[in-house]
Amino acid sequence: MSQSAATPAADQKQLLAEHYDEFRRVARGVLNGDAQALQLQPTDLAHAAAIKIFSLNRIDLQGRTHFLSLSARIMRQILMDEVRRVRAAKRQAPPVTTFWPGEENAALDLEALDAALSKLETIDADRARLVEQRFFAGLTIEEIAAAEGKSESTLKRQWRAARAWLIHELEQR
Amino acid sequence: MRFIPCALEQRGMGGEADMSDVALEREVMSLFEDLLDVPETERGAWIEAHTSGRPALRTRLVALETADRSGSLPTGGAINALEDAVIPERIGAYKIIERIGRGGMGAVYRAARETGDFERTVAIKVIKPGLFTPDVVERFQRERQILAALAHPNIARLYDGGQTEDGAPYIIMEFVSGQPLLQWAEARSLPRAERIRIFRDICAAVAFAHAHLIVHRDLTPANVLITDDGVVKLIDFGIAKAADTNTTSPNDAAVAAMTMTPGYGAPERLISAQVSTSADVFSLGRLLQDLLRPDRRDKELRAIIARASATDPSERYASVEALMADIEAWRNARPVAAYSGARIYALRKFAARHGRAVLAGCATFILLATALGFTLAANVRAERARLQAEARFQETREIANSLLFEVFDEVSAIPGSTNARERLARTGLSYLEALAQDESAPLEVRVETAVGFVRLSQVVGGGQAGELGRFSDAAELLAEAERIISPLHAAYPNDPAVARAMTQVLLEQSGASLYSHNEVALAREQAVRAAQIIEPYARQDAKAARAYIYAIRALGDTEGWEENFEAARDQHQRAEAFAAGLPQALRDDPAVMGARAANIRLLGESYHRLGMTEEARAAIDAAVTYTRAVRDGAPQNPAFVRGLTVALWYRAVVHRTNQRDALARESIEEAMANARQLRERDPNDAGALRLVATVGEVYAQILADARRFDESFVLGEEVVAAQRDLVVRAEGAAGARRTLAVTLMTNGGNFYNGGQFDRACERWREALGIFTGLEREGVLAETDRTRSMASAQDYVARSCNPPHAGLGSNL
Repeated sequence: MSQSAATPAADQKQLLAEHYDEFRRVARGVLNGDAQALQLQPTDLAHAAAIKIFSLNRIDLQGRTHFLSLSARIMRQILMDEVRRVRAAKRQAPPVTTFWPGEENAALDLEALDAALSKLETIDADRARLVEQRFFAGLTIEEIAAAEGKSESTLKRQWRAARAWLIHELEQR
Repeated sequence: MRFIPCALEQRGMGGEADMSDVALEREVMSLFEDLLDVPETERGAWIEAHTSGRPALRTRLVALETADRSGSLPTGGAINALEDAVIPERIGAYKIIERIGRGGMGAVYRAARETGDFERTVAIKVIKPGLFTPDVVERFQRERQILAALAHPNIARLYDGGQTEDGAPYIIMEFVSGQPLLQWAEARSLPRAERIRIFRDICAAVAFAHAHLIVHRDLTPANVLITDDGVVKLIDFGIAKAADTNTTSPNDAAVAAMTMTPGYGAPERLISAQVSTSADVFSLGRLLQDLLRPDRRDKELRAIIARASATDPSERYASVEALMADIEAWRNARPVAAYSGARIYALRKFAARHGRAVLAGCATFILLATALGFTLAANVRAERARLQAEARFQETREIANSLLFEVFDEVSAIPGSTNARERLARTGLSYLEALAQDESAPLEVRVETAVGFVRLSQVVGGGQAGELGRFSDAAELLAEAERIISPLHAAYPNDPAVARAMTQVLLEQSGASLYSHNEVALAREQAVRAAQIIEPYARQDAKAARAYIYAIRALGDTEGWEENFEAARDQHQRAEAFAAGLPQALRDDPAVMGARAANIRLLGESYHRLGMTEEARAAIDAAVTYTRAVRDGAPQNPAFVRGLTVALWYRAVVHRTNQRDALARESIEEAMANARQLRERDPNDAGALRLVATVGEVYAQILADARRFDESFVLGEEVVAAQRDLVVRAEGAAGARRTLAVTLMTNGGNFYNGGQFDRACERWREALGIFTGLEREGVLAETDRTRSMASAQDYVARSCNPPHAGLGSNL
């Protein structure tokens, strides 16, 4: 990453650690609803958390992208922890559903998606990370390309491959 | 047909792929990516050519390609319960005609009245069964009446509501035949003037609702319909609620968050259920953006939008009317309030702009969140600052200092802010620390960092107002401050700023040594060093003068702690003589006045303990006068209220000892009222709790003197409970336990004088137990051993076996 070269990794970790609780509060706030069935969009959660943590209007784009990109993994972990916590706490808890960015008509089981993504990770960490960045941190291809110094067309292709792979994986369930 | 590769089929879901699979899968994906550039008609041949002799690879590639083309992800079986639900035939007195919409919350139907004389088409919104808990449903039923009364030409009327047989709440409302706002505008390529007209109608309708205490809470383009005649109709007050905080339940925030439309919901909705009209202002700002799509040149319009949809509610227009007024101004080319050429936001200005009245209301969180937001923004900036200009570095440093000092002080005036201040100090400090680690960081930054640690330690457990009572944490923070400042002081012995910071660290440590840890000799040593270091600068500025007074006062305090009242008096006289000899400008500085008043109070105590009655009275009256003047200058400042309270408390002590009961009562009543007020401002404030305990202890005695035992006992219980709480907060620190023991002794005395010997003995035995424990740990002061502990032993021996009036009629 272009930014991380300038910033010691330890500092970035520290930054994230400081805001870990904030992420969790946001995730928990959403998941603790009365609903018997929940549909949520991790992207919105990430943005909500980001808004809580800093004012998007006042941090420059580069900083925002960088922070969200760093947060993607943590957001995912926290969200999935919270989902499991909520499901464990409720008898006959329904699945928590979500939808693929841009495909709002089909509800996906969030835990199944997470499991499939974990599997993709063991196969190809880069593509899995891309999904994390887009899906859990709400970044666009353009933003990721700018933050990581990669070409947009490469990322678009990788995104499509990851998506196709996940679709197929989920169909096997 | 569906391709199922053998490997995956056998492996099943959820496990990790094994190594040969990994290689295969990687190859498949990278082939697939290449395939995307191949025209569709040539893909079959391309796949053949690139996978020849490798059936497994081919199977997987075709599977991915098929999945990609299938265009949508498989659903996870948790489809909306209503998706498949049969459309009901009728709801209430209405016959369902058709389903006109379906969403996360439920479905909307068009229906007509079956019976009755007139034909009326309505829309019925059925909320998904079980989506709301019973109390949310109940709340909705209550609010329905308010909603039903909301009659406005631009708001779809709510007629009725109820519950279906299977328990789904429903709302019957005016049926609006129209299109969602943006669609309608786009379909007509609506000119801007017309769009503005529409927006003003929307605003007027929302303002009308606000005037009736209804907040829409979910204003989105989909909830603004335009009829075929071009009339605005706001629909879906489904989650609107009366703007009355009484009706909120803990679930509200979750419901609000769950139903939030991305981009339109105000950020604070995720934080709190107590959403105000300001949330609608936010959504209106977003609507305006989407409706008018301003370009770069529309600076004023963009400023209006930015102000309406500011993240921080207190930055938004105060009302919809204010937003409308600014839009009017913009249309008529008059100056726009939102456009004041706002550039980089300075935290300092923020603090200045927000008067205490605003802050005291509800804004602790907002101020804090904004401040923390800045820290992060600044943090990102700081990371670059190391590589970039010095200017950036300074900016960052200013923000960090602003957090640690100005905003910190500002927030201090907000009730209930002790926890918030800790976070604020921590964040500001973490930032300064990062700066200080830079090799090239200027000396001042390191000094500021050390002072930052002192600040943080004060909040965590400084023994003064607004602190959390965690003494050991505070001690660690002070040690950190010392680690930073000591080497600097050694290297720059003649730098005034370093000297001031070093003094501050030492004085704070001295106070902690004395009050929290009962280590008198160490406290004295620290105070002596502090006085030596600051003396050369003591007449230069108010801060240094104040530090010097505090240093000498601290010296006197260590003497008084061991009951060497002559030595204590000498030190306090010395400090007072110094203060009195300062130039007028320094003498009148509130910081100096506060320090001087605190010193005079202790001087009065020394006189009093030495039996110098008149001198004591004069000194303590002067202390009250001083502290009252300081307090009146800033009546909301808890530190000043505290100063006055302490002076009043001690005046009561002096009067009581001299048997001037009426005067004692007058002072202690005022002190008690102040102390309670401080405690109510912030239950987390251990300093305020300690004050209540200290003042209450004397008050209880004064009540007992007047033979008002019932009141005295009740107050005594409150005092003992407060001291126990403080011991817990201090994690059992020796100083806190000693104070509890002393309180128990006094409290036992009140019981004894009131004839309740059982309860008196119970108190004394507990006190004795504490003293014994402290002695065993080697932290019992000699005076405590010879006086308090000896008294406890004596009382228990003479009066408690069994409990009786063994000590005479009155203690």
